[in-house]
Amino acid sequence: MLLELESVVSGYGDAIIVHGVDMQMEDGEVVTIIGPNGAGKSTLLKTVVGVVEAREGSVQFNGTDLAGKPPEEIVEYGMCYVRQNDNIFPNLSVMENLKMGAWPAEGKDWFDFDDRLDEVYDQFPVLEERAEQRAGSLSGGQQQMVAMGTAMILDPDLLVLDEPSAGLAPQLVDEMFEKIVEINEAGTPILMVEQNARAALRRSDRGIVLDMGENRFQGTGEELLDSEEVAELYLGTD
Amino acid sequence: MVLDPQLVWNGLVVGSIISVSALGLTLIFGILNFINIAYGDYMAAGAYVAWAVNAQAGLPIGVAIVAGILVMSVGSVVLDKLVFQHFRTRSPITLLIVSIGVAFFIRNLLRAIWGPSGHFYDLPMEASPSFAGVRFSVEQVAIIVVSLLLLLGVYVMLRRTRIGIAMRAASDDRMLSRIRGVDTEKLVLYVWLIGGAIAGLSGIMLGLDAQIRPNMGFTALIAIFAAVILGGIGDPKGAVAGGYFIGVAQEVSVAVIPSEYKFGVGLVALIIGLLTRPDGLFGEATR
Ligand SMILES: Nc1ncnc2c1ncn2[C@@H]1O[C@H](COP(=O)(O)OP(=O)(O)OP(=O)(O)O)[C@@H](O)[C@H]1O
Ligand SMILES: [Mg+2]
Repeated sequence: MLLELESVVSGYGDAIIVHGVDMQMEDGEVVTIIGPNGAGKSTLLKTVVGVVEAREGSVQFNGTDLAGKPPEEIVEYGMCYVRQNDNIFPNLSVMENLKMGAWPAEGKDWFDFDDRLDEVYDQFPVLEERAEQRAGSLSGGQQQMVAMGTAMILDPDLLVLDEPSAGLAPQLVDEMFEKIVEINEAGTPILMVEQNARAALRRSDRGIVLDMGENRFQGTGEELLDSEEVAELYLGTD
Repeated sequence: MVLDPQLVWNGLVVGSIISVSALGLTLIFGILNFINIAYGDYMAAGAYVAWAVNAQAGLPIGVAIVAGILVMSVGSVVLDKLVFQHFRTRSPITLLIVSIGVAFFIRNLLRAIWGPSGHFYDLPMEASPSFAGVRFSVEQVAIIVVSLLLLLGVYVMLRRTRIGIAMRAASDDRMLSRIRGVDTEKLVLYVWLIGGAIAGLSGIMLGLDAQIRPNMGFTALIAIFAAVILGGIGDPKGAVAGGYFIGVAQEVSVAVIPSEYKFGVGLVALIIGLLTRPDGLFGEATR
């Protein structure tokens, strides 16, 4: 088991948002969390990566319980997170953003920045073209590439993506999903939240429906796509 | 109107001091996100420590300057541990108010130890040479050169070093820098070490240019804030440009308004800046 959540409870101040969520994920998988606006999808991801503290329950990752650890420690376990919004340093150049992605590994002998950079440039060629440009000056789609590339520099054991296709022009959405499949096929497991639920589930090994901070359905991507109940309640008619 | 070169020169000297102190203040703001009102009093404390080493203990001014810088560098970290750290998660307003308390404490401590009257450094007497009708002192030349070197050094640090890039990243978005793995508490430590050292140095430069008094730094704060805000708060390059601008504007104004009012220039620049350029001289784009 790569990632295993057990009865995770979390929230902000007095507001409990995630009410005891369980989930499991195997190495190599793509798992997508879907659900209505405000269901707590982002909050659940934030809890997994330590941005929001787990109040109860456990977050086992590769056999270590990460619950209660701060984000700067969790990234050292090989879990890299791309936030839903504001996921780059706008006043840093693209290259500097990528260097920040390598922060936990810098100086470690197993890590070679230039090797990883080559690989990330292969995946996201636009980053090489724009390396010296201020990241905040790029288009929304390119900024999303910077964010993904920054998370991929470490060659993570798990890539956590919050709505990677949000705000992208329609033709870029497909491109983004192809990228995600490509990254996964190259060996990186992916846990993501998506509003483009059908497109995401089609490319996922498994899906989870989160509603009101609880998981309502779990199954393979196909099972969720085929379920009438899920379709009616959560997939809309796209 | 023809600019009097002497006034421009004086403005460059004052502008250097304002630039350096504004840079220190803006670095601290970038990471800690609060306006440290005590910064002017850190400057004064640096000036006094150097004065004690120089005039009271009789050591050369070079040694005194290093002592003043080191004491303020370490002193800033100590003050952070004793005071500011406990309010880290509170609102910027709370921190601002706490820093007003720290400011009063330092100023009155200086007054209690060294008295309310002014002091001067014990400097070797040198003639003031003149060039193209501008009279200048060795201290003034030193202030300008040292300021430029320091500004260059900080620029290189922020652009080229790992820690410097992380400081800019944390100043952009502190939580995102933690997500990328930065231990921001460690950054806070470095930023106090550097910001405190810069405060000490700029206080000493202020003391070299004028005189050493308990409220010397506090009086300079308006001009420093004006530079920081004019430059775009948290933008180091803007703070430096703002500093030189305010310094020159303040000194050149003496040609047209009574010199007691020259400190008002900073205030006016501050107000005009806030009204017309709320994002600073360069906007967000050059940070
Ligand atoms: N930083 C915060 N402080 C307080 N409440 C928050 C915060 N972030 C989110 N919330 C609240 O938590 C609830 C769940 O938000 P969350 O962002 O997790 O939902 P989501 O499922 O990701 O929604 P969306 O599809 O809109 O991204 C919402 O009611 C939201 O208002
Ligand atoms: Mg969300």
